[in-house]
Amino acid sequence: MNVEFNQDQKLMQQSAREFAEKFLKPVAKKLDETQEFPVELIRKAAELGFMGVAIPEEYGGAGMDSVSYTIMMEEIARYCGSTSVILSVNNSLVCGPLLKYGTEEQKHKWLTPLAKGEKLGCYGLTEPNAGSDCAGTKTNAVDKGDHWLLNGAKIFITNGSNADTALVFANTDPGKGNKGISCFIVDMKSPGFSVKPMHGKMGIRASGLSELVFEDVVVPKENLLGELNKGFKIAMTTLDGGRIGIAAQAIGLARGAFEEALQYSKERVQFGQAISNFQAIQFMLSDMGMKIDAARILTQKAAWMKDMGQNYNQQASAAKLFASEMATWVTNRAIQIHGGYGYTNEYNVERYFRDARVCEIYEGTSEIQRLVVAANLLGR
Amino acid sequence: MKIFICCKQVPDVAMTIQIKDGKFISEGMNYVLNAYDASCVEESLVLKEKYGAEVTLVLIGDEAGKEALRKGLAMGADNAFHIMDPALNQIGSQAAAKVLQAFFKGRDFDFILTGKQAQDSDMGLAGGILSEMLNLPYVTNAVGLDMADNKVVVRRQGDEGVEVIHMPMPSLITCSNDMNDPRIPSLKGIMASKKKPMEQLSLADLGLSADEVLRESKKSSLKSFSLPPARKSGAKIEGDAQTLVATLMEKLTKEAKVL
Amino acid sequence: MKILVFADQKKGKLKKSSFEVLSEAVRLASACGAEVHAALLGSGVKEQAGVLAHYGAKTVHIVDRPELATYINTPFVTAAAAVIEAVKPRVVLFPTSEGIKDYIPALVQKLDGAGITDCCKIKWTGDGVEIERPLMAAKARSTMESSHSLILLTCRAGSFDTNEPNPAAVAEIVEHAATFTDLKQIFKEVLAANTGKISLDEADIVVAAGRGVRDAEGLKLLEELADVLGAALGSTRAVVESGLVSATLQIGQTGKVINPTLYIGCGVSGAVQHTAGMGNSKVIVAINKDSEAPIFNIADYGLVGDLFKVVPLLIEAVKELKKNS
Repeated sequence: MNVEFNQDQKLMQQSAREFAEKFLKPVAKKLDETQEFPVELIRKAAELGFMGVAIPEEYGGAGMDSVSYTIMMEEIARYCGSTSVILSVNNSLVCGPLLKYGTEEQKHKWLTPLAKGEKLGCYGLTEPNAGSDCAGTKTNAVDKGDHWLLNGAKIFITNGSNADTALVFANTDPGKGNKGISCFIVDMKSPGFSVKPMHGKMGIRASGLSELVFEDVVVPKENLLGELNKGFKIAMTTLDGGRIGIAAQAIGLARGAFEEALQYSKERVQFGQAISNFQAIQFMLSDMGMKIDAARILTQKAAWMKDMGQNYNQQASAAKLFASEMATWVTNRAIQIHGGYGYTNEYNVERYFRDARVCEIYEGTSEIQRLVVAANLLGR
Repeated sequence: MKIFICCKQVPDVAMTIQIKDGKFISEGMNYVLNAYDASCVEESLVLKEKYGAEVTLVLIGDEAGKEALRKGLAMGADNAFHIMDPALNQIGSQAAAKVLQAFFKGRDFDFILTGKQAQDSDMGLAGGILSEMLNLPYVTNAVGLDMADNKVVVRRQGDEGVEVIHMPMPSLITCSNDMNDPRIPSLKGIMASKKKPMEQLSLADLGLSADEVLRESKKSSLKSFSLPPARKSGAKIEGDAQTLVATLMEKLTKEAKVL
Repeated sequence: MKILVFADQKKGKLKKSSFEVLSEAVRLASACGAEVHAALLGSGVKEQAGVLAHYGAKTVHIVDRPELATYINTPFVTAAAAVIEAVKPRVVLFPTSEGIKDYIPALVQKLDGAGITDCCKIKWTGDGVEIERPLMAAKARSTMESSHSLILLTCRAGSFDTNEPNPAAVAEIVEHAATFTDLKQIFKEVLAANTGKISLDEADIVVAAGRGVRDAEGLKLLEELADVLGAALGSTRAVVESGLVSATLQIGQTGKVINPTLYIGCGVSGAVQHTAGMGNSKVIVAINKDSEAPIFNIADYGLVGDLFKVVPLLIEAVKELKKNS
């Protein structure tokens, strides 16, 4: 592993940075306020190839590696948490499993438009009674001979409001728990498929959070992704890849808040001098910078292992766990450095804090990540 | 139509600049394609889309400079020349122009574009010097380019306003970043840029001796760097609008005596 | 040894930058025992030659030709080269303008000289000059040296103090011929720019509009302030990009470098791209409602307040002051 980026990665970083500075920085605050899904921004991101970064070119992707993907996620999240999660879902939770488990036909039909960003994907796993515990999945698909009939509902679905294609996990063998879950590719225009917006989120508020409702939705037989009743494995390996993206997102958010705090500390004058002259502030800044760096190295290692074809389950969880807790801490310190102003929405740091907080929750809570790491350490 | 763009890789001047013991600290800096050169690339791609053209990049620089060339190729330029030679480390405007003169000798082109200055030196001489060496007409600080009657119509930001100047071909034009908003290279473009032709040239390949370059370099030399003297902030005046204006008028008339 | 200064003029009036550079040439000349010459290129500029003597020029060289009425670089290069070849100076100083920035590279090459632009300090070393100049968006400075036989330097606006003129001083006036052949470019026209009545780089007082002016109405307020102050209006890049003002009003790294006695920034945040162009102002006033705006770090008087409330009162106060004086 080389700690210096290669030329492809450096150029990718420049493009992602230019995009973020030019298009996200000016509107991130407004997106948070209006909670409007940034349709036009996502179209621009798609033009640049940000919707299928690590998907091979033959399936409409950019053909880059997972390390590049983390670089992009960090640069995007540095300015806008909402946009970064929209990209994360399409890249790792939808394109990822389609590439890994899809048939050649499914890849051409579903993956290519998603990786090109002509279509947007969402990932339907979570239910009111099933989050980290997939076995509680109530959504079911019944084999009707020449098609599946899908019924149930999913909640907290990022991109739900604007997506075209959903990956939906449903019970196909009731009573078998995790061993009875299958994954389906569902066209969101199908009759019986409805989407209800969900409001009241603390952060990443422009990410189109929705509830998906299935009422006798007909799903063609060929839309089963992977093997019947093997959906649990798809869900888990998909989240491994997703966690790398969330770790990178957390790093980007932490960095955005850190940079603002650093700048502010040089400009804010108290007791006749810039507050950056005070050790109390310096100590916070040094810890913030150090932790961001540490999280980045952990995350890039997980991505590199993925690129090398190694088992990266433990590293992905460790990276996501460390980066997300780091981001909560760093963004919180950024508020502290800003003092009273940091607690108001006049400054961005409170938004970074709200956006970062979810990284400890989605795609497996911190507690789940600890279990994953422990299971690996203990060889279970 | 054949367009050449002379470019440079420069430190990202939006970052914090660090200077220690009179030296510029390059560690930790990002290096990027000079923004004014990026505007040249953008403008020539627009001309290419409109009239058809071959867009070629030329860069003097070390190994890392390839990244700047690749950025231009990723934006859509067709091919690139990378002039790399140990004798060319840290050369100034006049020496760079000398090297480029040798590069253009015997080459066929319709016009040469280059940034109005490099963001690291902000010198703004190399383009015009190169023109004079090549005995070409030139214009600096272009904010718009188009073609008409086999001439390049240049809009230039001058002292009195935007000047419209018709340039015969071949000629050289230096570009301002006010000319356009350079496109961001797509990931597809970045991957495709790996496959575009990039030829590496040494001084010997150009038929130029290190002494000839040195002769130009010796005309002036860079001794050291320093940070600009900080301007001290004065008083912040707070209060309602009446108080602010009354205090300011008092200060401007009695203290600063500028009104 | 001779030091030659090229004066700059606009519509028959010498620019103040010419006097700054001439004053610096006088100081430099006393350090190295040189004689100060000035040169003036243009059409119908002869009458101004005498003024250059007031600032220390012993001889004034004139190229007064209709070809120099509108600016394109070829005739200016020809004329400047003719004067330099006749005078044979060791050091040539220029003020900075878009025209001079345009023709100096060819002149440097044509005369096989050493060229350095944007100098803000000049020192005689004994066998040449040592200069300082800003670079990297004025975030750093470099020190350079040249002991070449012909050194051409352009000077950054506002960097050098102007000496008191001596109205009694007279200079020898020498007219030079220049042959203008082979005009390589064809000048078509100057597109009208909505330039203010007072030119930005010449103004003693500049009112600058930042993003905080919001719209045409905000801009009108600042125009009115500029009017009552007899100031020029300038702006940040953001305001140019929004289409409210033309690019000729842009102050900063990619716009004009100004050096007024009084700069009043209204709704200007003070991004480095802008401050790179106005940091040389003698007195900086900032009006901004964001008390944390970086411009307050360089402002002599920082007014924390809403420009829409402050500026109308300021206009009245200035009117009152003018009435009483």
